[in-house]
Amino acid sequence: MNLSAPELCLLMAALVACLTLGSLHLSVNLGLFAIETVLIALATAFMGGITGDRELYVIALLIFCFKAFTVPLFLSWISDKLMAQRDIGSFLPAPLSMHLCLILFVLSFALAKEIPVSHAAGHSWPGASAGISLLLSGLILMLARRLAISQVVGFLVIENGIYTFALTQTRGMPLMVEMGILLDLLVAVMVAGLLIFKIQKNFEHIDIAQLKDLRD
Amino acid sequence: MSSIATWSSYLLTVIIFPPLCLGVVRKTKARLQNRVGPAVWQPFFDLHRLTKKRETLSDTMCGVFRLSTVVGLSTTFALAWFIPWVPIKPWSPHADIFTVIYLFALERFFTLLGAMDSGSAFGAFGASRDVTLNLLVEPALCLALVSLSIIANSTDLGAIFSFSHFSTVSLVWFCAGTSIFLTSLAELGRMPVDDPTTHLELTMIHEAMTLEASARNLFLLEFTRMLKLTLFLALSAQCYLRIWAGFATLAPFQQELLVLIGVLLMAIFVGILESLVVKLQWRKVPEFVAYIVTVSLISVFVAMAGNTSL
Amino acid sequence: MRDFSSKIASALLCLLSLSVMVWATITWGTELTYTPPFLLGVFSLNFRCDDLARLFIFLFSAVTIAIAIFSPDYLQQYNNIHKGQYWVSFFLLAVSLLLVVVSADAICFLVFWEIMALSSAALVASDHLQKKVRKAALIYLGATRIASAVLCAGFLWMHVLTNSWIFVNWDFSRPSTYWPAFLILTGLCIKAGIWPFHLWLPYAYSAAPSTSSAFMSGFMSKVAMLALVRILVMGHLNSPYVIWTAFVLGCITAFWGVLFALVQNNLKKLIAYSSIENLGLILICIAFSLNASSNKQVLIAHMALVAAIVHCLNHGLFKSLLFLGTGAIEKSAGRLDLEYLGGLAKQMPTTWICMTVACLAACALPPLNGFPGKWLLYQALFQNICVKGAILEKTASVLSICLLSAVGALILSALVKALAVAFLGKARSTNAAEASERSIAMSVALVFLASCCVLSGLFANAMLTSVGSALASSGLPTVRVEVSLPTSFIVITLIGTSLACYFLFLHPVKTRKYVTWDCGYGSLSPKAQVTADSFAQPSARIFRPLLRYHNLSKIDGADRRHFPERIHVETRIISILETKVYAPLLAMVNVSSRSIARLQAGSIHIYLLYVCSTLIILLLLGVAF
Repeated sequence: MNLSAPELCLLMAALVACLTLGSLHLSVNLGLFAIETVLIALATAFMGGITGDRELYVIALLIFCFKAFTVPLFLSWISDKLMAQRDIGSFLPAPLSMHLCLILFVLSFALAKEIPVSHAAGHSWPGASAGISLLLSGLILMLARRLAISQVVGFLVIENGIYTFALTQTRGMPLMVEMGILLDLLVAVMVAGLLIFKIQKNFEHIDIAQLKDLRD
Repeated sequence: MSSIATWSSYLLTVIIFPPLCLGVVRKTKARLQNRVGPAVWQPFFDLHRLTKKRETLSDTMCGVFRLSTVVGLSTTFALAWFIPWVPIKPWSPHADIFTVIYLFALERFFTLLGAMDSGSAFGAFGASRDVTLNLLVEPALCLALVSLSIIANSTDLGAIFSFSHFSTVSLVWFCAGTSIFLTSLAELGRMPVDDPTTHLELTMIHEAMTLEASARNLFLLEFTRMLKLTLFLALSAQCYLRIWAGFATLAPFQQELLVLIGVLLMAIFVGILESLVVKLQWRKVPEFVAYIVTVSLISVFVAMAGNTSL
Repeated sequence: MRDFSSKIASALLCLLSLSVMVWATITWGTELTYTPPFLLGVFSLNFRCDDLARLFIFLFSAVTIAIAIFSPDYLQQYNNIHKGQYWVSFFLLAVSLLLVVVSADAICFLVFWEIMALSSAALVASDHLQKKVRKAALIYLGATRIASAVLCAGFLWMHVLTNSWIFVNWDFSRPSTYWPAFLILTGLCIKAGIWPFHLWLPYAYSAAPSTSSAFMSGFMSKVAMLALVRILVMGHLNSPYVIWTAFVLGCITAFWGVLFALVQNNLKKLIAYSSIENLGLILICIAFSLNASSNKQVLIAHMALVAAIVHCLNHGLFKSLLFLGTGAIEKSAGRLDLEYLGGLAKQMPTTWICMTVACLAACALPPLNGFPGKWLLYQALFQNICVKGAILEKTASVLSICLLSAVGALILSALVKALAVAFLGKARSTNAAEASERSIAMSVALVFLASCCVLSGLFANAMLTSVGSALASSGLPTVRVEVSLPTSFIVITLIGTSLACYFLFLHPVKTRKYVTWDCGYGSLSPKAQVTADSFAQPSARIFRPLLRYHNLSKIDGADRRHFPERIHVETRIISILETKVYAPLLAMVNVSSRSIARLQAGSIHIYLLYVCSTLIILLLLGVAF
């Protein structure tokens, strides 16, 4: 199997996302998320190099600044503030969810091969499988964790997956759309952060498994 | 190379290296703790002393205890014969990975019976923990070896370690080597899993199992363990060496030299690791082993991707 | 007098199995068919004996001879078993099993299958004065009824589709045959004790006398697997749904069986669960072979199928040895609860050695006979990873290699637990302390089976090739398997180095006897030893959610930390399947049958009314259609 540089970066990002599942420490999770996003930014830049599309360089820079840098820092600041260092973990033990994720990573290859090929240049099935795998990892992360901050991380991983998929299938979206999404994301994370503060204040914990008490 | 030289070099490595490795581990630890520590030859003297003592057996034992030490050592010798852990071997039989894994299990079966023969609770608890640990570690080791077989397209360890064009799959060598190394730590009860230097209550697995052994029995048990450690370290050292694609093109004696140096370096690394890492709580051990399984899984999947038939 | 008749029966059984074996050896390599001149109703019976059937006949002879030698002395301890009834059902079972093995059409198969089911149920119920035994027999009978019903449905359906009762004419490669294939698979799985239908198995095997459990586990369950091979594999089944169902069921069965074997405290139950595990492995082999042959990978299909047959034969040998060894313990120590045994190795050396051989084989350790089948399965799975194919299948292969190695480690811990707790250490009860080898005949039977295990392990390569040729002669493609086991090398190295080590280090040394280290407290009581429960606890804890494993401990006393007065420890395992699935199902059946029971009014007129109305309805239906 011959991989181009962006594909390699994306696959490594997907692998890092799988590894994220293995630890319950929030700082480790955020660090791995940052690495994953840096890899995606790198892939974007490489893609720009291959296609000669200048906009991709700008997007890579934006991703690096916002998603790989600001967002993890902000989240780790929140977790420091709330003195939450470790997730409690839910029904699936952390190591097992990591194994599950790895297996899904491989299965996403099988899935990506089945995607109807748009013969436009730049379509790559390893890239698509990385996207699918990132998406699934994010979902499992959200499923297997209980702290609200982990939910935000899971959501961000899902977003990375969608972005990766778009990047590899359609060469990314126009710059304006991409910037809009990034801005939205930043705002969403900020709002989520504020909400987490609010939850902590009202319930004295940020365990979302206990939210079902709110049911009538 | 003449067959006599081959034989003698092999026998020398198989007899000298196991105690030497342990000596190097101990020396490294001592130096890191600012002690002078015993000489690296100390394990030889310890073993020699054991052969001269008089053997004490419990009156509860039936014959299986003494049988177990003998079978344990002979199985491990057979494994040392099977596994291409040094490049120069007088005769390499067809060493199938699954046979190797089950030979390890054979050795374990007898060690466990031996540990429980005296009816001592120490031995039995050690055996129970050993069994639990092994249950977790076995898939990791199996998958690591399978990943190596996938890239070589053969389950024969001899074929795996003589395979010569590896430029694309060095990641597999790295992952498999790491996995085998970590497996050896868990399987042999070394540091993050168990502390081999304390006694009885603090050491949970191996020392507890050998509590009733004395003199020559203890000698056999200790040597078995050292040999096992050396085998694992040599395998992982070879995996690491093969990341460098030029390794396969070297002459056999150069390879031999590199592997032996590699084993000693691994032993030093074990020493460093044991001085830096704290022992895990027993309940955390499954989590540690799960990471080994992860490394093995990655290794298998990368190997599958690297295999041209995908 | 009664004893004498027992001996005659046993001699007859030996004679039967010997003559069958001799016949099978003489006719080896030929394919015989026989159709009796009479009809059964309107059906003619067809028998066909090929080499595959002969392999099973050899297994039958080995197991039966051992059991025949073992039985008379073993049965003496049961005062309540009617010996005549026992022997009659045993003969019926043996003969019907032989005829099932050689039957070539569905009717013939079903007839002898039913005789087999009923006679084995009678064997399970041998000691029927005990309530536990009656319950087990009832559960077993229920399971066999359901199995037969499902199997009948499948057979009838196939008959409708192909208009033939003969197995050879059944071709499962068309989509319309997938449902009957599924029914047949289910029926045979229930009979073999595959998850989730395995519940009857530990009950039946632990309640039956050890000899009949040895026969049922050693041979009867294998016949279900043989039928699977005969009908589905030789019928070229290629439905991915059925194949993957079988594969997943096999995987779950192997894991589930071994997991529950680990936490059992009754020796017989432990072995029964380990036999569930082995049947799971065989089912994995068969499903994998089916999958490979539907992908046109002939070599892999062949390897997996050979693995299945070889494991059937070897498992039959070592599992019947395990059950007979259990019987020997039962006879001399009276109980099979591991918490009451201990230290038997010194008193019963023959049983101990034979059981060790059996356990080594059951753990699939190299020079013995459990290894070849498992090894070949590993090889087949590995080959499947290496050839061109779908990622999904390769991932499944990787995961099943992972699962197999975990299962191997688990069965090792379960059997080491059984062996060490029962035979090593000190006796935990007076009965166990007074146990001894009671009968020469029983020892002879054990040694016979143990040497069968050792020999079939040593000549594993010959066995693999002969099974391969037997399969080829039964209508499957001939394939040469390149890989071979390095058995002779292992054996020579092991024996050589062991002897060298022994004479170098241990032989002339004088030893000193002393007590087991007691931390200076003075003589250790046998209670201070590790129990079977505590040995399994660390492993069971890991699988807590699956086993519903609870460990409750209560320590009483004024200063309970330092001077406990009373310590109460209780371990509890709940089988989810039994409590959450089968119990409600059974309750539902009970309720519905109670309402149906109202039809039984007891008055002859009402019965006549039923008959009359049924007749009228049937007539009307006949007119209408």
